[in-house]
Amino acid sequence: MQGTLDLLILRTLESGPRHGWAVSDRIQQISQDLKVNQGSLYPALHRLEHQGWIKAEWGVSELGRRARFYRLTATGRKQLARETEMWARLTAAIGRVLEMA
Amino acid sequence: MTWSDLLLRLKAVVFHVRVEDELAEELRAHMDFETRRGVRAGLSPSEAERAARVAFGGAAQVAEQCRDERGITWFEDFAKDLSYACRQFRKQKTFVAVAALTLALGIGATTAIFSAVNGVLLRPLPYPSPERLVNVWSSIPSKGIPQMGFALPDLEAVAARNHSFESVAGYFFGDANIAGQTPQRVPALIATANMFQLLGANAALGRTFSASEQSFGKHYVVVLSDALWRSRFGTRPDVIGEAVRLNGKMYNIIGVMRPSFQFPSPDIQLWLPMSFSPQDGMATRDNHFISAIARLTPGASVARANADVRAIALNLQREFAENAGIEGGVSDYFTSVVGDVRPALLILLGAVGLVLLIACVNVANLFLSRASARQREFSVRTALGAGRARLVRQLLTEAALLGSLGACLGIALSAWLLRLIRVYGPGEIPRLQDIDIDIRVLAFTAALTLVSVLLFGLAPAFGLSRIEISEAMKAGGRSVTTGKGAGRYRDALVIAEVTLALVLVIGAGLLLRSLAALNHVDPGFRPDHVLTMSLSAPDAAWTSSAKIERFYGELNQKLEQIPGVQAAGASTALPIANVGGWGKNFTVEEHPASRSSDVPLIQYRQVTPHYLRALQIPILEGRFFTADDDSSRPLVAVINESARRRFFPNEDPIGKQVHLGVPEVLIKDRLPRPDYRMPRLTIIGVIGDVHHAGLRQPPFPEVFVSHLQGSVKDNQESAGHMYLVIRTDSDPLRIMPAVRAAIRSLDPDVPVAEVATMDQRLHGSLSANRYELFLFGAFAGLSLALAGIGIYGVISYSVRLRMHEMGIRMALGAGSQDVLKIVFRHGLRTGIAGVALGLILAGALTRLMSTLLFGVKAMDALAFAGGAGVLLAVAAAASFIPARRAAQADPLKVLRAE
Repeated sequence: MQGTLDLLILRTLESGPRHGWAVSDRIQQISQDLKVNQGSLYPALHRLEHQGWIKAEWGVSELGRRARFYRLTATGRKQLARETEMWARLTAAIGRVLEMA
Repeated sequence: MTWSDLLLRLKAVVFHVRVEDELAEELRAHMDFETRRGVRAGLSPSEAERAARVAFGGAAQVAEQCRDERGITWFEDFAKDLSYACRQFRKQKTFVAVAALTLALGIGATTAIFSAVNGVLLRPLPYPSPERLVNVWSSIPSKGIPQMGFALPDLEAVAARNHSFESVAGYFFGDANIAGQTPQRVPALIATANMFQLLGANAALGRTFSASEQSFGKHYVVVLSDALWRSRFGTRPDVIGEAVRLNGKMYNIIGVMRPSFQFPSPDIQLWLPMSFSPQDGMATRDNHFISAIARLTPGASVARANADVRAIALNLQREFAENAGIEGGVSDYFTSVVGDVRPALLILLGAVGLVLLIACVNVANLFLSRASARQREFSVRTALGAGRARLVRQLLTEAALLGSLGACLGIALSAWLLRLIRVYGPGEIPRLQDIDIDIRVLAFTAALTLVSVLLFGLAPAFGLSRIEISEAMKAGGRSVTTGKGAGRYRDALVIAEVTLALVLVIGAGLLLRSLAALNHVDPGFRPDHVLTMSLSAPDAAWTSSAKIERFYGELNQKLEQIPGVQAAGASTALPIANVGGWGKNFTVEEHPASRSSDVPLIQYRQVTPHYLRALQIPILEGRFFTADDDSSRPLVAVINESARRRFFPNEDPIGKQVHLGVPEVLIKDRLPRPDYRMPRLTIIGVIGDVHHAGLRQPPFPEVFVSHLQGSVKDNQESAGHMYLVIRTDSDPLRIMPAVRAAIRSLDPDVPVAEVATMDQRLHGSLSANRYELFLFGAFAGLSLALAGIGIYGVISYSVRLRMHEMGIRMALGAGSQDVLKIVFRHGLRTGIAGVALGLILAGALTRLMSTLLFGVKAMDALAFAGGAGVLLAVAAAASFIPARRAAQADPLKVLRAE
């Protein structure tokens, strides 16, 4: 689900700027079960950048490698809040349907 | 599309290589990190690298997806469309040439007219804060004088009492005789010393007037125009401080202005400070001759200033008897500069806009035929998965390419047209030399092109929606019968063309009828074989009226001795040319006005005895002046027909007493002596009316007095500045050398100016009308040609599509006449529909041009019927050619070809 990946990326960046690999690493670490396709991460990052929700800057990683760091913008933060709420509503709704049926 | 999106896309397009590098680098970094994690987990470097690559997936695909997200493809698609369009165009040179030229004509003509509108109407005047400049004027509404100059005391009162202006400057026009080897007479402006400062204009060399130079005696200083400095003073920088003899007095040259300073009109060659000698009779309350310009204080409005000046004028009415009935007001200065030409220019802009619209419709039609011919190509592309949007974009790209081509050609064309306008444009258009293609014109052209591209580019895109893939494919190699819808769409375009063209043709017809009506106006005299020029007596040497009278008397005699001269006369005013106006109060002894504000005005001229014979103005009653009507004889006057109708409607004017002033009883307190009486004149004749201010203006009441009696006490002085009128047997200009010799033999210091034949003046007075007609006619002709091509194109195209049907009809027994009729009827039907709509549209639009018309109504039946006839003839001719081709086709061949 495209929207899901966007939501995960935004949430991951909420705690601070990260480069692409760190985002995918973080998502995998926390979700444990969720296996994010590393390749699909980058088009998603570029899309979010175009929407103005994240901003990219070149920086140096903790290991001394030059990398592109992404950070959440103000509009991105709002979008994250919106999507989180929608996600909560959606899962709640699906949960209710599953219980009732 | 968000802002960040747009910026990033732009960045991707502009820094294409850098963005690509960054993408590669970003993905490489990911690989490095992933590999390092593998190594940390205990893999060998090469194993870790392979694992990383597997986890990542196809790097090329990921990069491509990123590019997609970035909109790189958007740019690349455009580049592809563009190169495809170029390839297409290279194969269809005729189509491109016809379409681009059509557009170039439309865009070029519109750009040229818009540059004129821009230069004349839109560009601000070349003064600082020009929006604060206003005209200030006097008026006598009760005598029907809406605007006139100020009397000096009134102007001073306005300058002192107003609460609206930073400053007020006065000026009036004069002439200056420049003495020297070749005496020269040039238009001069006599202005208050603060005029330059008010306008914010500095001298290019030297300085402008100082305040003290307005006081009499210190006023012998002159500021030269750039043009005069170049033509007469050889652009010498050391002219400053030099002395020059003007009107017989020595003046000090203190400054030279920049070429751009042309206040109040480009013909002014020098500026003199305004000052009056204490004995001068001009600076009194009843001489209204000073125009005024003022600069509003910041924040003051024209309306408030107007109320202010009006209030001052009303106060002056209460304070001074001479100011009875005199009011005043303020109006925008810019409007007064361009007000006269604004309607004509805007109408022309509208007309040329119609031409562009027709050009666009024509190109749309071309595109449409081309699109139909490409239906198969499009259906194949659609079948292969191209979306409709993608195809529309392809068409729009082609349209944009063609539009840019047309725009470039159009701008080149307009630059050339502008040169023509500047050289041949009528002189009365203000600021004509200023017009140029500037950034605003270019922006206008770009916008115009964009709109045009959308207009003609979207037409085939709409047609595209009608393509049925399967049907086009089924039709195979054969031509596709276009659906009824597409055909109707094309017909509608042609009908629109005919409609617009008819509006222009009717407009041109109305202007043609106006010019014809103007040409039929009887000027009131015989203009052929008449030479005219202005002479002026050098003021200093010619102080006495007697000397002036003797000069003109002897000159006329000498001129009449020149072989080929039939009669020679002189007058202070010249018909048609609208020069030498001189208004005076007029009182008929038997029925004087009862209030001074009711005293009528009349135009006053001094003439020599042979003036009438030289112009061949008819005598309607009584007699004209002879050489005997001199200062020793009773004062006499001649009036024209208008004056008789106005002042003597039911009586014989001959023998009646009149005088040129207000009845003495109304100005008792202002008379030099209680028993003072102005000299009475006896009317001895009535002559025919003559058009003075061009043929458009009706004649007005005039009174003539003998030049030889001009100096009789209190009448007036004999005019030194007069216009010669000389009737000749043959070409009037041929005798000019002899005329110059005669003048020089009497006085070598008399400058001759404004030499022209009466025919030339008459011709010149209609130049604006001819110019409007020429432009409108050119636009109408262009639109006719385009409409004709449009009809021809649509009919021949439909013939091509219906050849098969025609073949079958003929095989089944239809004669070639029937086929001819079918096709011809189609063309004519389109034409008639367009004409009907055009008549309605023209009925609504021609009203707008009524200010340009003369002697013809905006709904003139002849112009409307004539225009409709022309359009129908064009439609008939344009559809007859393809109709005949269809009728002559061999049915067997047509069917076999399928």
